[in-house]
Amino acid sequence: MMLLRFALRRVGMIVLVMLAVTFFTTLLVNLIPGSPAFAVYGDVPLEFANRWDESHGLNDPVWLQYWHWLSQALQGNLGGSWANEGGASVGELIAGRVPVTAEIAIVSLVASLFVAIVLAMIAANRPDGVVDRLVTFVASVAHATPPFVSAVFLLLIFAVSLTWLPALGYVPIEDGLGENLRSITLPVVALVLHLAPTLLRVLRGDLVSLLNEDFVNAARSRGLPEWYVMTRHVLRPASASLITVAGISFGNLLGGSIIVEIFFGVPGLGNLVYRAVQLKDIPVLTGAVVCVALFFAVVNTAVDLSYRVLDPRVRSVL
Amino acid sequence: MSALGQQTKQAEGQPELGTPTFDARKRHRGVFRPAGFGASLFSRRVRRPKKLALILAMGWVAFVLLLATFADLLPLKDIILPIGHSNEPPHWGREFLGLDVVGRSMVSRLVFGARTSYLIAICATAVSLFIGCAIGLLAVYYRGVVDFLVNLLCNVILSLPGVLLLLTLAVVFTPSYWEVIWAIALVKLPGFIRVVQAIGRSEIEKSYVIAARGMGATGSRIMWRELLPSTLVSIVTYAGVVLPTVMLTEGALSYLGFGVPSPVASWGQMIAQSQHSIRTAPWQAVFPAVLFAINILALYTIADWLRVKVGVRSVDRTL
Repeated sequence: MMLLRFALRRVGMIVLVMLAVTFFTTLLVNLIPGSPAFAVYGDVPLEFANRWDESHGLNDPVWLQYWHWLSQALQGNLGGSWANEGGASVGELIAGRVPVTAEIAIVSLVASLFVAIVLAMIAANRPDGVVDRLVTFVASVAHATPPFVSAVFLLLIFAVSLTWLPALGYVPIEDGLGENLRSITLPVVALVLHLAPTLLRVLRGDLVSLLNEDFVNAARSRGLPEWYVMTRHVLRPASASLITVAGISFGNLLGGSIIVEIFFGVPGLGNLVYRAVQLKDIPVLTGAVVCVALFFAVVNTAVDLSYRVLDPRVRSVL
Repeated sequence: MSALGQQTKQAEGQPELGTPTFDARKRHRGVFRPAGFGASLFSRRVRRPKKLALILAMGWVAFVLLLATFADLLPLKDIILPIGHSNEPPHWGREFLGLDVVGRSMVSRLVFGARTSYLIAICATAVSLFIGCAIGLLAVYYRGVVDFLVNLLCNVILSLPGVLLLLTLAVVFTPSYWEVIWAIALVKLPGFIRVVQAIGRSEIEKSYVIAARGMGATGSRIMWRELLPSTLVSIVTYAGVVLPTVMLTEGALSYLGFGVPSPVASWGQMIAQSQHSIRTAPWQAVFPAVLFAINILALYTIADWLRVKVGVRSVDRTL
């Protein structure tokens, strides 16, 4: 019952936040100095810009503009792109880009979790040992290196010097899985270097403190091998906070992927947003913002709920 | 932290749990740790960064800050006009870090880039701190509708990844120092608000605030004279933790071309500009990238030390 009430309150908040975010992006159109037509079409006569504004409803009051957008959006129609009028609709544009970003984000998350879990278990096995210090040091260096900096080094080492991997571009999965994986390797590694240290730090800390608990001593005293204690007794309680952090980071991964996609020329959602901002293509930007915010909210709520379902102590606090 | 420290000390003072009866093989060494070392699921061991690393980090930041502050007085070449051929490689006798695409001195641009980075990082953190304090205290004191609205504001800001939110704002702003500072401060606001709220909510229950109320203190007196001082230490420490992330954000923003406009040097922008010639002139990307990473690492090291010293648990666990 408490859980249901919590969930309902969260959903209410999400609806409010989505309304606020979309209203805010609609408001942005009106804050652009001059007509967006100049940004979209370049140097056009003033009368053309005025007519363009009028035909796109930009002279209406803000609330009316917002109402038009909202009533269409709720029916699944996110409007048409300004920069490419008569071409693909915003919905189609986004639908075309999402699989690329989703592939990179999911592969990055899985790889980060794998790297973080393995390294954290090795490091926590001997706290303050040589391996632990080495892992912690490498992790903090990687943590301090933002994706657009690590991308420079990755590109120079693996694409320019060693020429193992392609420097730019993206090969769709239909053109062969091998080529596809090769093309996303560098972006994924750049994101993993960004994400894995955060997960590693949290998990290592949890593991080290859990290894001093009585139930671990009990398990050890029964003669269970160390790897068994680590994987079966300690990893599970430690993963509660890992799930939370992984959930939060997954959202940030979308932010990081914007930069990585631009750096490596991957035609994902990030590149779409970047182009839309440069061209002041507000419908596309709004559509992308709505999608990301919705996804973000769903992930965060799911993480919170799963946390509450998994851990009865949190459930009672609410 | 002081409470936690006492706990640990107490626990260490306690006698050990008795000699274990089972085989004390080497792999069981965890068993003999004093209890209370990491008692609950949520208390994780606090790692003190090594002294040397801290000294190096502080020295480095002080050095860079000095360079950035007195960049005008240093014998540096012009950062706006080309001083030689474009893409001239590093050479000890002439330009020891080489020239960029346009033929401008890399050394000068790196030093002035440090100024941009630190100026924006410090200003944006300060702006965010002041506004966050004010909003957080208002929410703590007035509760109800104000609290709800502040919560909504935080959720709206947090509903998008920071970079995406900044890109969305970039549609409107014409990049300049102040607009970049305001935009980044806005993105970092929820963290400050949450810290003030978390501490303020527990402080406002305490007897000194109730006593002040009893003496007829006004709302603003309670907020600014009673609550603010008790949140200040945590909030300043949190600012230290946020500072490197602000610098990261600024770097990302100027990499994307929405940072301070072009004649002003900034590291992110230098990386972006060098990207086309990365095969032929890799030094143009490598130097700003290395500098950027070292600075962030140094700032993180200092922030970690500060956090351990003052004992503020980070609110945002992804930091």
